[in-house]
Amino acid sequence: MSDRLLVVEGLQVTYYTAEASLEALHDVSFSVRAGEIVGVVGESGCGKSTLSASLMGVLPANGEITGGRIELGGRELRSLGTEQMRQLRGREIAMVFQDPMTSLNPTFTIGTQMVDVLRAHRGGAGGGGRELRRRAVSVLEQVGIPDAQERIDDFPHQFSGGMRQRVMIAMALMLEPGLLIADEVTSALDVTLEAQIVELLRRLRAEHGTAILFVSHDLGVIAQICDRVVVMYAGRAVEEGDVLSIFERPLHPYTRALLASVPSHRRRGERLASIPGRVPSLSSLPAGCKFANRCPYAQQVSREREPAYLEIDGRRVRCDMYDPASGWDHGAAPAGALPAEETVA
Amino acid sequence: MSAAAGDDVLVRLEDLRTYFQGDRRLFDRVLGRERGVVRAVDGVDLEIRRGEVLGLVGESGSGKTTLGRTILRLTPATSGRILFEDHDVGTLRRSELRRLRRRMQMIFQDPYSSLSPRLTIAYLLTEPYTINDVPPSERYAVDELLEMVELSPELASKYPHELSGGQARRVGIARALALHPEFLVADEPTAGLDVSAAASVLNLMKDLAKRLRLTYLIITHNLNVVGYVADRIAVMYLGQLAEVGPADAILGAPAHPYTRALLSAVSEADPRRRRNGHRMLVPGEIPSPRNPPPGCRFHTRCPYAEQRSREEIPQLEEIGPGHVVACHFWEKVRAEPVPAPTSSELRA
Repeated sequence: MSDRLLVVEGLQVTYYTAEASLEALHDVSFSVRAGEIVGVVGESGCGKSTLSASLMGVLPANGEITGGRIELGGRELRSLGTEQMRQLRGREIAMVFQDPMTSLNPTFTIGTQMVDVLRAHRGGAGGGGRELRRRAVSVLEQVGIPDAQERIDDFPHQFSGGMRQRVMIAMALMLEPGLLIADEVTSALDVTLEAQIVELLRRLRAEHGTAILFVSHDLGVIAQICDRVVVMYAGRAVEEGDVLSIFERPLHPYTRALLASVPSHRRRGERLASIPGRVPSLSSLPAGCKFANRCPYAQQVSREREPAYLEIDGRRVRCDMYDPASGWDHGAAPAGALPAEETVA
Repeated sequence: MSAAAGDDVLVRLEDLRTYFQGDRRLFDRVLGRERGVVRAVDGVDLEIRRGEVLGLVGESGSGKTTLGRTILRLTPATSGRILFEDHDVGTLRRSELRRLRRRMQMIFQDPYSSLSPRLTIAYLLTEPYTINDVPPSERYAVDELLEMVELSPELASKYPHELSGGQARRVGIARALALHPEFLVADEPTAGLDVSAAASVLNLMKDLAKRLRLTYLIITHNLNVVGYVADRIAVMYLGQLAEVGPADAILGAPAHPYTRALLSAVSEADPRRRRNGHRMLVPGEIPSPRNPPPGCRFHTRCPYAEQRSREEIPQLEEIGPGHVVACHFWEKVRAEPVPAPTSSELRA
């Protein structure tokens, strides 16, 4: 219990528009232990970004947490006021965004911006300008910025794409948060830089015990870095497990389908499985299982009732067609609809 | 025209170069420097064979997109030749070029910005016919084009913003196919798509290649994609080719350190194949093409680089059937297991 740094239980987030209220997250539950790297994976529109934003307390004005709880280090975040939340951000939970260019202020040097982070949180205490600057340089060195001593006086545009992403990570690390949310941090990068950033995050965890919530649509990067994985679909967590189980013995039909659609040079000549149909839009979610209309295993019951999020052997899955005793009833699926387990793994 | 290769060569590039005039930045003015020249494509010799899928890979800034555009003369070449069969693409007159363009088309990277938002899908699909004065007998019907890319005919009356990313990509492909081309250049065909949409676009491109006997140049930074679809692979770095060969040779026995680095950087969707120290990481980032390093352009990031790499430009040499590499030390590279990264390599 005590090693669970972040506990999300039954989280529900609603967006209000002129026409309707849309449930962007529904009954999302998972936890992150200290020093653990947990992946959140899913396609666009699955609620990944809403999840990060609600954890950080930065939902857009028309969005609201309407149910469940978020506990960070034993404290319930929903009960915190704006000011308390602001103090917490950066110090206990920090976020790195996909696009560094829009998250860094182009008119200030990165040194100024980094020192501002420290000032805002320490309120004058904790040393003078020189010491704050020294701290900033050391964090820049930590994330692999060469010549950090000089580069700290550069403006964001003077950094290349990969270096800018490192600067963003450095900013997030200034106050040594226990939990880092990395939201699609490698998506805009070339493979070479992606690999470098993944190495950097791994090293941060190894050296500082930083827990990371790694949000990505890229199953490759997820496989490379995560200890555990949460798979999301249409605002729900549909499966959770340790990384090996998720990739080698996926339980939810959606996870299986996702894995079968990843191209690889090891699968030359094979045909990729693709998922028919589209993710349902938030304004017209089907009644039962949200994946039913694309799922070869779906039965009448799937269309009528939302499956519960069942816990099985330390894993979780949201599917009524999965029977913990016998596993999958393969007879229920049309032949060839989903690849056999061997090709999935 | 060289008669060396068989007539299965559809496109031949000879010492192709595309330079851009860079901006004269404030610093350049203060220092009295002239505008820099960006050598996006800098001496490329390459053959594309009829019916093959050639994958062109490299990081952003390698010049791969410019090379694709130059082949179709969407960007003018600075020097060198582009031969499409025996037509010299670079010297064709406008009317001749237009006729040839029908046989070579581009599938653009961003389908939304390449499809005008005010026009219906039906209009966008038939626009190439109007532009090219195609006689009605040679036109596909809109439904036929949509069917070809596995889209419902109902989409004909929709506008681009009403489509999903995958659908828009398919419309881009249908539009390129409208003129019965033989050669297609596809720039990052799966970029920005969700996994399952990307998979179906790749499947579609493969099916179409077979059915319509297409030749593809697929440009991407994603080795998973290129490894999955390509028959041959060309690896590009800073405007030049580092290695070209059959996909099996490039993936199985890469001889250029850059190819190895790219391969080792691939994030495989398999937790048992993690880059765990024993895999090589290429340090740093690609230098600016305004001022490429002397000698071997990769030497600034190459763990094998020696004095010779800094002084002498390596030429492409044949090291296996159809497999060429531009590295002074390819024998050593190919013989060695992939080296482990050290923390200093990680630091860039």
